[in-house]
Amino acid sequence: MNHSAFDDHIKKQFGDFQPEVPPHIWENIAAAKNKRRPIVWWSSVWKDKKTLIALAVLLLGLTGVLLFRNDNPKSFNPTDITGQPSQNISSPKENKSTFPNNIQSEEQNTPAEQPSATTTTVQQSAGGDPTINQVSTHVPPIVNKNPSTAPVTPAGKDRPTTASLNKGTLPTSSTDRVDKSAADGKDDNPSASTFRNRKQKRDKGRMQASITGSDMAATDNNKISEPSTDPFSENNDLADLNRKILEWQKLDDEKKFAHKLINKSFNLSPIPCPEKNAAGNKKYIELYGAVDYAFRKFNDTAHSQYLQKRKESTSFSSAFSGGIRYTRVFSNAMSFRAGLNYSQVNEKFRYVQDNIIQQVYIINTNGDTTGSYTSTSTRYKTTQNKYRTIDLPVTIGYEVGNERLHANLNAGVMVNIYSWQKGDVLDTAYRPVSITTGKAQSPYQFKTNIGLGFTAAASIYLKLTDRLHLLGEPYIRYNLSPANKAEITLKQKYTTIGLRLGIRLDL
Amino acid sequence: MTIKKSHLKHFAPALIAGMFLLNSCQRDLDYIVQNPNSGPDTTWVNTPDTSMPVGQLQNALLLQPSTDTFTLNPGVVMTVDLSSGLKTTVTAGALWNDSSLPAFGLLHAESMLLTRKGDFIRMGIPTSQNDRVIETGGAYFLRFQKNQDQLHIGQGRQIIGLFDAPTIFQDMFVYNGAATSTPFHFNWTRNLDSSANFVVAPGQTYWVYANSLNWISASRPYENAQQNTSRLALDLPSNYTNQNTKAYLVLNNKFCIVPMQDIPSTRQFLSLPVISGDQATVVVISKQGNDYFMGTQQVTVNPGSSNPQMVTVTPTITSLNNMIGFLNSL
Repeated sequence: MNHSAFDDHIKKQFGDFQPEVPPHIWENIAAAKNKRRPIVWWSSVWKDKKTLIALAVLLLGLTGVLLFRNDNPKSFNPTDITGQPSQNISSPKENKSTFPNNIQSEEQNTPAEQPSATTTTVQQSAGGDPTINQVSTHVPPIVNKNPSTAPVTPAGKDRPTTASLNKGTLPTSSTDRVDKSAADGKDDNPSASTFRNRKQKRDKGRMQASITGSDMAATDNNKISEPSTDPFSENNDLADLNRKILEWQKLDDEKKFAHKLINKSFNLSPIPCPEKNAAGNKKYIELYGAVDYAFRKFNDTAHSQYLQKRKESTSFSSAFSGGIRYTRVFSNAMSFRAGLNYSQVNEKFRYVQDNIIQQVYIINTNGDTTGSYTSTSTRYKTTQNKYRTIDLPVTIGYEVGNERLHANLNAGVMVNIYSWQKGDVLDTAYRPVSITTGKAQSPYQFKTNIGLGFTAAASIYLKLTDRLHLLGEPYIRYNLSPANKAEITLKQKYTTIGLRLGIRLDL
Repeated sequence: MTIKKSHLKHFAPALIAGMFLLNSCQRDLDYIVQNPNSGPDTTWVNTPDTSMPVGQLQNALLLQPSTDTFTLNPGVVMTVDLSSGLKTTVTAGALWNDSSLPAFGLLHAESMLLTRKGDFIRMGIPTSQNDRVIETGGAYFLRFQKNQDQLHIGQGRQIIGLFDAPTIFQDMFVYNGAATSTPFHFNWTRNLDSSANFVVAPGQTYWVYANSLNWISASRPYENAQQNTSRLALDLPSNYTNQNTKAYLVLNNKFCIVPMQDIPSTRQFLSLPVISGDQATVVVISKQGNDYFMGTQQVTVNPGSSNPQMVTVTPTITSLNNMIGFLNSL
């Protein structure tokens, strides 16, 4: 037997091998994709069609390569099948190997035929080439469904002949097959296109029936008659290999493919779990509004009646704030946040003055003043005081979370950029005096810059879409300095708590 | 729960808009509320007093008397031209002090002459006697002092007051005037001692011989019992009461200043009987608060009836100077 002929035969048989992936596999993959939330970098991958096609092709190619390796006789390391050390196995003299037939039938997607029990043994003679003895010689016929293709005959250089088998080892792996092909000058690229090309070449009639001394001859229906002799009958290992191949052939296509998947490791890069944590060098823009409550604190000299009057004359009305900020979450889950914040505290000032003498005029319908009288009245003054600030909050924090929920604890400083006020307060004579910024200069006015303050917050983010989060954040702000000028002994300070609601946009 | 993007798109602006809306609803207020029961005083009092606006009004319109000094020597008859415009002829020994001794030497004379209708209103002196109108030719005030002691005319003595008048009537009598116990009420009384108190009118001057001092006028009765008379009542806004208002009926063709008396029971100002057909000017003056009000109305006295003739007057705000100027023009 010509060992190289056998190899060539194997090559030709598997040259055009193109395993088809069952459709449900791709459906499962697509379903798994939909379940998973895309995370940062690979979200864009799924949106790119070209990338998807390339990945699909790559996957197919890898699968095909792996399948080819799995189906290539060279890959059939006898160790794998028989459990025995590999031996040099010569092709049967009369080239009655069923290897290419079995694989070929799979390639053509023909239902596996029920093979007969065939045991192929390889017996190596003491001084010569091993002789493959086949115990059982029932070999399923090779069925070529493509009449245009050249019949595959057990003879010829594509079929292992006794000489080829006697010459060298059967291909043990696809690599070996490739190497041999390379040595033969052929480009056996284990890719789908290569398989297709080989099929085409085979179809062109490169294979010819040239079985030396073979009783098998090409029939009109391109069937190959069963060889009368079984060259493997004398070799147990080869027979066992054959048997296993035939058993494998019994499996349907799905199981065959699954068998390959199970038994072969696909060298694919692991797909990381989608966003197990919130860290990962992310950037966000956040827009929020808040409803606040401001606590006022007064300080003055001991037993200050003015402090008491001042406290009684004003009451908290409402407060709100809003802003925009930039948040950066680093790989170690630490976060940095900076932005611009506008706050407004509304306060009600009430003043009542009794025993006001007023001169009231009586005017008739003609517009003539026909009378006047003096009345005692009470004056009621209500002013909506507004304390407004624009600040620069700078905080650091720590962010954790999962696919849907993030939490960020942060604290930092609030740098006041500018403050301005509008309204009235009591002076030390218990009369209303304006504190409106820019209106008048009085010691009762407030500062236009209240300096630094501390702020802390606990942010909760609920993922809505790929890039959008809903933000909820209770927070507290403490101002270090009093809000009013130092020209009077009374000091007025604000501490604010609130609940921010907003949105977070992934950058 | 599925939160749609469209919900979020509207949520943030709605939240911000809501904040601003709530903020803008609050307005600053600064207003005065009158205490209960405040308003114009429309009550009438039984007896107004000088502390009331009517008293303040009267004090604001009063004319000031003139003061003069002269020396009266014994056995001399002096005619002194007083700065008020009044002349007085004093016979030495006519003026006695409280010890009933004649006063000589440096004497002080205090006088006031009323020859215009407005002057009578300003002084609050109508021309009436016991609710009857009198017609006057003029009136004067005269008194003497020596060393802060008031002097009076001695027994059987008299002094003469002389003043000019545009219209002279020969049947004038001497009337003495005095304020009554009722505030703001003044009454003239004819002096029945005609031997010592009489009026002579040569030329355009009234010579009033009187044996008394203080207010003296040369007047005569305005009407007689046979004449048809009628009373006039005023219809004023409710804020004009006897606490702040005085009203007079000034006859246009006669020197008569008819008082319109306040009647608390009817809340009206009612005039004395006036001859029907006479034309007159109703003058209402008032002080309310710190402002002066005046109203006038020309009327023709209707024929007498059981009910007074109603005259509607709506005073309007004016100034004190305007009020005085008008009164001086009457």
